[in-house]
Amino acid sequence: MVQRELVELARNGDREAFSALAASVVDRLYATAMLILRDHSMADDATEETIVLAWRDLPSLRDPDRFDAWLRRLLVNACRDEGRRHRRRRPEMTLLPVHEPIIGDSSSALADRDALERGFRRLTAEHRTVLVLHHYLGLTLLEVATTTSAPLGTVKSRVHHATRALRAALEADSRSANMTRGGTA
Amino acid sequence: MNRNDDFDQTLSAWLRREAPPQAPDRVLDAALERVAAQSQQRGWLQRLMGRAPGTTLTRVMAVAGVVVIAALIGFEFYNLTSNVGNSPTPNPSVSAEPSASPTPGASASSPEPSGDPSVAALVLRLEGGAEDGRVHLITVLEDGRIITTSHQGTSHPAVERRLTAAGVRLLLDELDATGLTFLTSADYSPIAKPGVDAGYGGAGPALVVGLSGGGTAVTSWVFMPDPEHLTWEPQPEAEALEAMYARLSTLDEWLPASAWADADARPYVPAQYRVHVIGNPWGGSLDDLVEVSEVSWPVSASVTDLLDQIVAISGESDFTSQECSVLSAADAENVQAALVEAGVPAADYFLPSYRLGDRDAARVMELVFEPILPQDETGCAGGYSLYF
Repeated sequence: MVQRELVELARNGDREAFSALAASVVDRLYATAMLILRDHSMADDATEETIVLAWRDLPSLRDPDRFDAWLRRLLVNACRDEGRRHRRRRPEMTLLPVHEPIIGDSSSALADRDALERGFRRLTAEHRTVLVLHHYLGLTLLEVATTTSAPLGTVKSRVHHATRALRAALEADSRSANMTRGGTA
Repeated sequence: MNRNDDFDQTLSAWLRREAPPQAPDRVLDAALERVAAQSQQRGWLQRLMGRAPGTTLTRVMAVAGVVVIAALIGFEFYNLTSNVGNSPTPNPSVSAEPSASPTPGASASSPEPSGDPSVAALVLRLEGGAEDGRVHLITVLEDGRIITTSHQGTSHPAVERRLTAAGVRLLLDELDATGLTFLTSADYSPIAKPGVDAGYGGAGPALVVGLSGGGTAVTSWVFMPDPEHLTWEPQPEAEALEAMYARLSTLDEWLPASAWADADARPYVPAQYRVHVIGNPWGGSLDDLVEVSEVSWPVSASVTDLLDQIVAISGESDFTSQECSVLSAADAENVQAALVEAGVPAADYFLPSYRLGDRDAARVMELVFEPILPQDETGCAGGYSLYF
């Protein structure tokens, strides 16, 4: 059954259709939440909350073809709420899984990944959100603005700022690596 | 492929690699368990539709009947109440700020070069929205001068070119296409739908239009794309302004060659600078920084004022402090030369910027030189976002 049909059935209260719909989107929701929140437990909660809210509010979705965009908006709101809820809590130091073999990576690529990870974690959740929506989900900046309920100018500013910060983190790491190499030569 | 594209690709690849391929089973299980115990939330119309007996068509007609009756009752009620002195509510988003003349941009219809380019009247200025204030995009003057600031890359120098009268007219046509008059200042900020708790941050764009009798009209807006209209009331004006914004911020893509009297971009040379002094207690290591007192500051009244600002924020508090001073172009040039001579390197920033040490207060002192645009008389009360 195609997604549109599932959405229409679920919108009219069909729980089975909703279960199938939720199963088809949960991986993408979780991956997005994980990238934004950088914490397994928070990503679990945000994804779960998004699915529950989607069921509750589905009757308010007028156009079933806009389900994906609508669901993304629910997810971003859930991530935001989750971030606020945990703001005072110490960050969980969970090791993130590596999903691709790292054999063959050059040492500089690994260093880049470490630097990106450090830089990315230092960004605010709002900045991480726009980068994930734009660079991971491939949304246009206008779509990012729609999803985050933020003015287009704010989205542009956030992408610009976040990109600068990440680039600076990479360049700083590269400089210190060069200095270390220079010192040991 | 440029440096930005490379970085974007690196970032996209990294995010794809970092994304977990699968959600743990417990997430879906927990969610569906809650869904099983939860009913859906339906609006009054959906509830009415759900309860009305008969076919879909008859249910729609029944609901439509209810709506028509409700509308008739409402109309009668309005007639009753209008007899007791209620008047229609004016558009709350449009301010009634007086203007000198109701002819926006009319002066631009004959943009002959004036004798002194620094005093040519303002036709329009477009400012972009950002999280912390606005950023300059375009300034067009009566003599056809157009100053643009690009926000691509890490350096954003303003450049200057010149339009023909017809070229300026083409820009004003874009304003006309919005259907708005720009006779007075107006603000089209988003309005949340009743009962919706919605907020937003940051500043939206603004259009400043010069009026022929003097003065300006400022139109600001915040465009909140919301195709479902779930959160915000429809924003036709903001949408029209956003379309105009998109056109004016991509002039090089559509303005014909004939619109340019001089299409060669030259660096914009300001007559004055705002020099922002930022004292930052967390500004990093002081080890390699030249101390403020080691600079041979040039002597002039405005430089003395700048030094006063530096002293004023030295050790002022534990937080980042900021002051500002307006310098003439000559003074700003002399100060920058003195900084370079003292060995202060220009920082990697989108405006000319220099980092100094203030060891007594254990803080980094940063000087940022922001060019002041023509017809901007706001001095230190104005200025654009430094954090874009």
